Amino acid sequence: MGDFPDGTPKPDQASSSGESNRPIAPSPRPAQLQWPPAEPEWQPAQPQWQPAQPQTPWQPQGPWQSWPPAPAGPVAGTSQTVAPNTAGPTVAPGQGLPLDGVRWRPTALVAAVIAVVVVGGLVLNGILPAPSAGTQDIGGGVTITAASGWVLTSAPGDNSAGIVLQKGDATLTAQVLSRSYSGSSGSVMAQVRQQLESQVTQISYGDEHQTLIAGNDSTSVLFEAILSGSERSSSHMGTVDGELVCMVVSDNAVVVEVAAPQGDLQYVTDDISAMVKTVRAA
Amino acid sequence: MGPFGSAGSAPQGSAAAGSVPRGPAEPPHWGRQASLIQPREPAFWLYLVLLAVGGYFFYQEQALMSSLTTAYLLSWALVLVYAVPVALVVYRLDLFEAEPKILLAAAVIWGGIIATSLSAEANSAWLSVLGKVTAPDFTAQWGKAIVGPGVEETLKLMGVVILYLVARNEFDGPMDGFVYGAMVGLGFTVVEDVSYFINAVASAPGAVDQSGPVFDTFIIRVVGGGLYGHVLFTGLTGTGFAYLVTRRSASALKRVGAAACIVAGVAAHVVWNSPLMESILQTRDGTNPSALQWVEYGTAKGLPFLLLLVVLVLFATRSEENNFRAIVVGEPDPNVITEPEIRSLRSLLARRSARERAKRSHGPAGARLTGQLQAAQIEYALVRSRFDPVWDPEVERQRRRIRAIRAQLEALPPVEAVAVASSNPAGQNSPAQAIASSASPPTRPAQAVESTGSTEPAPAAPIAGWSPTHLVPPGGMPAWLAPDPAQPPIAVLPERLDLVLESSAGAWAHVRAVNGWHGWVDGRLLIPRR
Repeated sequence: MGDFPDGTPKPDQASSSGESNRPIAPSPRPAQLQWPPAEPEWQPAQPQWQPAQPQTPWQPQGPWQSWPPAPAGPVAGTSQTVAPNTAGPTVAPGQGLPLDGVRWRPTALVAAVIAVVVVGGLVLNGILPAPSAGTQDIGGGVTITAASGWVLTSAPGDNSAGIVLQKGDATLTAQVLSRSYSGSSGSVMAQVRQQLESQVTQISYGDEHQTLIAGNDSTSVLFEAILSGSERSSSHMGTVDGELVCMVVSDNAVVVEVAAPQGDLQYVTDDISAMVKTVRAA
Repeated sequence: MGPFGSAGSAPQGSAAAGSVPRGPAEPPHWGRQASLIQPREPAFWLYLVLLAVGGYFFYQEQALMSSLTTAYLLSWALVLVYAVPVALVVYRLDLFEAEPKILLAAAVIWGGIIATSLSAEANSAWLSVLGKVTAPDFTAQWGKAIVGPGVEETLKLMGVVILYLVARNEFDGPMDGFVYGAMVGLGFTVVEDVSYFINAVASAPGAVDQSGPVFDTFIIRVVGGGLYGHVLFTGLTGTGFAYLVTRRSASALKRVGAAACIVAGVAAHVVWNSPLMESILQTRDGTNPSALQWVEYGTAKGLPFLLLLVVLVLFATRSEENNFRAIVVGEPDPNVITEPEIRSLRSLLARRSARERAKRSHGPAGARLTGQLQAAQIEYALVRSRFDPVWDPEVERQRRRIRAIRAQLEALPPVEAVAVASSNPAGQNSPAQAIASSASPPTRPAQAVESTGSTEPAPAAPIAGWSPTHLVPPGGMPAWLAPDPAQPPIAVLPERLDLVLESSAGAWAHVRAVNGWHGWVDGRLLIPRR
């Protein structure tokens, strides 16, 4: 037994090398680590912590109160618990503070990023001229005017009769099947459906609608088709959604076929409606 | 300081210190639950404005889709079957500090209402822009892979950033970024899935069957790709963002790595939207791909990124463990929490293992109490980070709760001891006593100091005539079994503890506490009572 030597093991070192169920090593605290200890900064003469009232006698609550030598703090069940530091659930910084200009900067930056992504796209799209194939002859003097964004990818004579327009992953094929047709658009539709069914693995149709489009007898139908590998175009995978529009335009049997990957047809339905209205004979 | 300032607490990297790794330099304030309603935060108002804008478009779309009533209800039912478990998993992965539910809800709302609505407008615009400046075939094949991730990941990440600006204290580490990012992604994918389901119905010829296309699309988007969608994407970007804003003193390499996480989140989306690996979906007869093909397709595209996220979550969990350790470090009472117990809290698996061990040794009640103990210890860290760590009554109340649970746990008869008792009338030690269990109550210091200390239970009342003469100084002080500096301290006494100075030997002081415990301390540090 003797005085503390200078080489007294520091509490954190000692405790961290001990058994695993030893109390957890405390955070380094200069008052504990310095040895010999310096004069405590804490002034007992002015104890903030010292209760003004006599402390509640310590009451053991059960066998587990045997350790630690519990502070004479509030006892469970006592209603007059002193809670000097109880603040209740606190709030995040900012609450209760004046609106600070500095706080606007990151928010403004976020708003700017969102604006660039959303408004920037809309503005840029409005500024850039949309490519358009314009008015195209699909054969026999019958023309169709492409809507904004539709470009010509195949002209008559390239690979097949008629023309192919494309916008995004949707394609529109327009061709004249007969230049001296005397039947109705419904009979054109029946013929086209037969041809189409022979080209795809599987196809199902919606209800046909016969009407006048720009004064022309027209029949339209939605379809869903499954294309086999050989029929699959670069932009169409497996199942495609499409619309067939058969028209009789000045004795010309005209068919307009639109196809898009499943689920994408909705994005071009307005364009389809607009373009079929432009089909006319010269 | 970067444009986003610093988090309320900026924990630094941890460094091992003996058997007890050090936590962050400054413990996080887990117990302070922030609210979304922060009128003094500009980001809160930005959130509201965008919610109003997004909400308008969201309502319009939902009203339109609800005209297909059967498909609409079925779609929501199916996505909720997917979304609720995912939300619970994400919530549970945040092992130590559950995020405020209102902020989590705000994250889901951002993803589901704000980001989806804004993305719909922006996607169309940018896709059109791309179509104007590139070849049609290129736009057709790669447009979605370029525009979708760029627009959607940016808008989703901005949601995480806004939540950070509203409640910086809730971002203590990368795990918080993962949680909020995943929740934003979950909200986004739920609303987007419903939209896809309804579109499939609307696009189907005849539109008579409202359930078939919904189930078909469910298989493609949820069964085939549910694990690899927006939850994954934004989970990655959120993790990277949170690391960058909470680890400002991390090395440049680590910060580059965090930035790479953001890039990885976007890249995962690019790969997912790209036409790559579509050969997996081809069938011999040209029919629709099977569900198994969709699963293969999704796995090939998304699994590498999912594995990356799993690794990141493991690292983030370790970071949370360090935060937890930083909060509870210095706890003087081993009956509150021990180092093995901290380790047993580090993962759901470890927690379950501890409960299983308790079940084996003490039966189902042991498992139940161990679960309660684990929950109470986590709650203790929250309370301790909120209040005065040593003295506050709330902290002490939580300590008592833990001690009470532990007392019940210890009072349980060992299962094997009961089983062996009949065949072991000699009363030899039960094998159960040899089972090492991190959940078992630790040896009480009072038992460890048996040579000089009391091994008896605490007295029912203060020792007669016991009148404290000194106090433990602020910050607490170590105590020794004997006045031998070569021995490690046996405990750290909490500050302001009443003691009786019984004798002195040089600077050593032999002190006794109210419950009879006694030991040796540095007498020069003791504060005389007045």
